[in-house]
Amino acid sequence: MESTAVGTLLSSGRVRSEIWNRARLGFIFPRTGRTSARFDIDIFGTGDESDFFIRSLYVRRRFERLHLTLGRQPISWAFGSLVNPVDFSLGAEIAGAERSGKFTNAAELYIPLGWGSGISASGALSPHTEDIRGALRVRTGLRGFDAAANFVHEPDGVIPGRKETLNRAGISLKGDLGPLGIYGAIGGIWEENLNGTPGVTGVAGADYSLTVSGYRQIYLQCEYVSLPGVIAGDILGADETSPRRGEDMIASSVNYSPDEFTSLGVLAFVFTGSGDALLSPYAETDLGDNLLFTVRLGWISGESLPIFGRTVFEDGIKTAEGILQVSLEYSF
Amino acid sequence: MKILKTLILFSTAALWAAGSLAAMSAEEIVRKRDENEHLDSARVQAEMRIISRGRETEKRMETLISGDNSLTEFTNPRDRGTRFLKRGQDLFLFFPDAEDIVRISGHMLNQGMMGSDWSYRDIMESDKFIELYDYEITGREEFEGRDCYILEGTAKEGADVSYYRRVSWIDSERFICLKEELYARGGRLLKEYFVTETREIQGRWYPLRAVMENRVRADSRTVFEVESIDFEAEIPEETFSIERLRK
Repeated sequence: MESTAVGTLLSSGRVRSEIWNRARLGFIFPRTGRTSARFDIDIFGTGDESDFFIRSLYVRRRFERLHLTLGRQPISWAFGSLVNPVDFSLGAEIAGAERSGKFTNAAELYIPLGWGSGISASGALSPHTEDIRGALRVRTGLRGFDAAANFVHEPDGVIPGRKETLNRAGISLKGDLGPLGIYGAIGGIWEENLNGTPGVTGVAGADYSLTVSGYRQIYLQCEYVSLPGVIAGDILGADETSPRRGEDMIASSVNYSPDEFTSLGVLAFVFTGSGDALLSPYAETDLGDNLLFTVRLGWISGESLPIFGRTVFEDGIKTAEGILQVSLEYSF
Repeated sequence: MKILKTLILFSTAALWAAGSLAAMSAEEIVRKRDENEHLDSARVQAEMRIISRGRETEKRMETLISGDNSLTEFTNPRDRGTRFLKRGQDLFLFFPDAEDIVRISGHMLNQGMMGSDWSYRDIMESDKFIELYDYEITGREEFEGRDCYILEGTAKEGADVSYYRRVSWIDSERFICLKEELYARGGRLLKEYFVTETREIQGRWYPLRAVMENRVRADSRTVFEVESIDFEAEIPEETFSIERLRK
């Protein structure tokens, strides 16, 4: 259960405030032999309005050599980056925050190969057309690195506002270089009829953690993301009204735990060309008895708002300059 | 007189032999400790209580161990379904809500596991102490009513360990560690480990309840309590796979 008070500072100087309430329910079904099922639903409300969102409703059958998952399910190819330009659904996760695009009605076939390798084939129904997004992914361990290669065929209309049928291919790697964690991905995007200009996207980053004074933990992560115009907005999870310009970005995260219960951090995203930026400091503390208290600020400069969540309009113009969220979450 | 000399000589030799048998080397003591505490294969259900300055939080988990590999699943409400897979030195994390499986960077192994005073390496360490540290006996004293050897272990060259030096109080009869001081390379005492409950299970002595106290920070400790442990659990090899993380 989560209750969040949100205050949005508009460029006119006005502050819009709302209360969001969310109940996330997960139903655990007993596993019968080789078959398992899962049902997760979010019920949320703002003021007098309420709605629901089904995160997963699927059946998984484990056959001798392959696993089949049918139904609504999250499909993500996260590999540890803040921005993943080679994901199954672009923009499905930014800095660990999920978007609705991650949850899809799909069939997934998974063939495990050894302990760390596997092949998955996915077909996902588009919510907007009758077309199917098809994908193939191979994941394996490669000299201590977690490596994956994938291909996605994305028919026109799968992404609202996009008219082209796109093919995407990418590889990702994550491993260690001495005391550093390093990762990277590179992907190619091209239109099916090859009329448009192909784009190349990628990310390269590193993470590091250290303990100060014997118990205070610091975690650092920084990455460079290349965002070609053809697909930049999609990679950042922007909506169809957002500008689709090609501009590279530096994304970084610093997290500091002063004690066992509290976490302070800052997420920063800066576009290298325009200097547009978003800075999001946050504080999270475990109050005990399964209560988690979070305060998150968002300061926005320029037009990069869609990266970070809700688009706020005032008289038809995108205007938000800052967001303050205060949440209380109870798990049971 | 000749008989008396022979008798004295024989007695001295017998005493020397008995003394040699009784005095164990540091290596022998640590090997015996490893025989008790090192888990080649096990299924463990445990609870971890993190206590600091009046605040407390609880984690529950089930861990499956076989050789270098382990799989830990958390079962408390906040972390329910979160799983860690350790394969050798590789660590993978499964986030249940997102159903993401992400390889965790090696440096994270030295960080506190889920905010506790135990590091991931402390919990998931698969090497025996004898393989990681060079030991010497520095004393012998009674601790909590038990006669203990005091051993000092220094990390072997190139060993990847959380603590450079550890001083251990090992029960001279049961060969189980009852107290341990854990030091940084610079000599600073980081943590102290106390075993508050032991039991003989399936022919070996094992710590059922232990407390890790943070010596750098006042009033901070984590209590680790084993609820059940099975040293003879049959754990199939495929348990320790990325596929199994998805369950």
